[in-house]
Amino acid sequence: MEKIKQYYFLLLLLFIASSINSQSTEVIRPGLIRVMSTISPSKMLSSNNAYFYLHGNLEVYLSKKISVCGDGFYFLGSQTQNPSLAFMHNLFYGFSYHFTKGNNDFYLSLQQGVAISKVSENLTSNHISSVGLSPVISTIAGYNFYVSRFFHFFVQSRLTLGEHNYDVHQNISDIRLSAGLGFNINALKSK
Amino acid sequence: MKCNKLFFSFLSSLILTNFSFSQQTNSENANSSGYFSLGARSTFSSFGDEGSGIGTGGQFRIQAGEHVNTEWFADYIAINVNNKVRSEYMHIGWSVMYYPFANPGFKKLFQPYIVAGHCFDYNKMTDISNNSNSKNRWGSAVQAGIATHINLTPKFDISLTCQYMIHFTESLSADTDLNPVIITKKNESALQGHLLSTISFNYKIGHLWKK
Repeated sequence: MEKIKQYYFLLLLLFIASSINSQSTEVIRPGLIRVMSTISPSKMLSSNNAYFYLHGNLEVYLSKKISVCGDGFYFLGSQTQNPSLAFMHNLFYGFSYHFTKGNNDFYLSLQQGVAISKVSENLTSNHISSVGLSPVISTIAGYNFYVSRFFHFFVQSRLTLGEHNYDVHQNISDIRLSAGLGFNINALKSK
Repeated sequence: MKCNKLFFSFLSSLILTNFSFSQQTNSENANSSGYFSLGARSTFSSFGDEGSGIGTGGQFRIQAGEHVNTEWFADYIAINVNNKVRSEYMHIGWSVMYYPFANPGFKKLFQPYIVAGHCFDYNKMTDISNNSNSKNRWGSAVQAGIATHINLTPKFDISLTCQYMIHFTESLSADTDLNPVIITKKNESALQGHLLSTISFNYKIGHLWKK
């Protein structure tokens, strides 16, 4: 127990030290790599169904304003009864345009990708459903706050538009929310 | 560990290339010929016989001169026909982009252009409720339209494109009023088409050649 306390104290010290250091260093610059993973709830636009996902992201800043990003959503389950989808995983790729001031980073993103989805078998007449691949498009508004050279807090909302057309037609457009702590590292030294 | 080193060295070289590249684009005498761009696209298909749908894909560009660029693309579009039939299109092709107005250094925000090209396409129609009720065909198509780049930075642009694509091939059609749905392949060539509205983003990686 004592060792665990020491470990957390050491982590806290590291966190504070890196935060102090970040005030003298520019974090948001070309070469910044950002990764995060979190639990993301969603709400379907065409029905009352709500699901939740494991959301992972990798983003590379090509300049202070532009970054390329990829996101993955792994379906974890439904928050409502009688869900219309058995599962829906997503892969997205796209870009973000950043409005930065200090370590504050507000951004807008446009991403395209695919949904790998399957409807619930009780929706089909023969109680068999198949996995389908559907194109989707997504817009994102988000905010990152870089508290150190290694950590940042993030929050983002995402609107996804798409249709599942396998076995039964389903509108799979939804809105998702993600927030949490992310990790970042600068791959290039500042000039 | 070795993979990490390789990844970081690759990333560093990519970004360093972009730094040296940005100095070139900032130059007043920047030469547009030879630029290589990479990007991704979302397409909205409309005004076809089947209805509308969305698609996803990617492209690269190789700029041939101050006024001429080329785009090489691939995309996948899915159209929902009356909630009964899934019509999937896959396109792989190329287009020539002509810029009426020169834009040295890509400094102007808007850069309109005319676009025309050719592609190979694959169409598959499937009864949504019965996967075995399906037909497909391969074909060829031409597309032409108008577009504009929105140059957010000299290296990065969002492009809005509006093109009409005409397929020179046998066509598929679905009678969704019948139960089960009947999908037919017409052997005679037909001028069948759809309007493709595309939003894409593109990043100029570097010069393939110098003049």
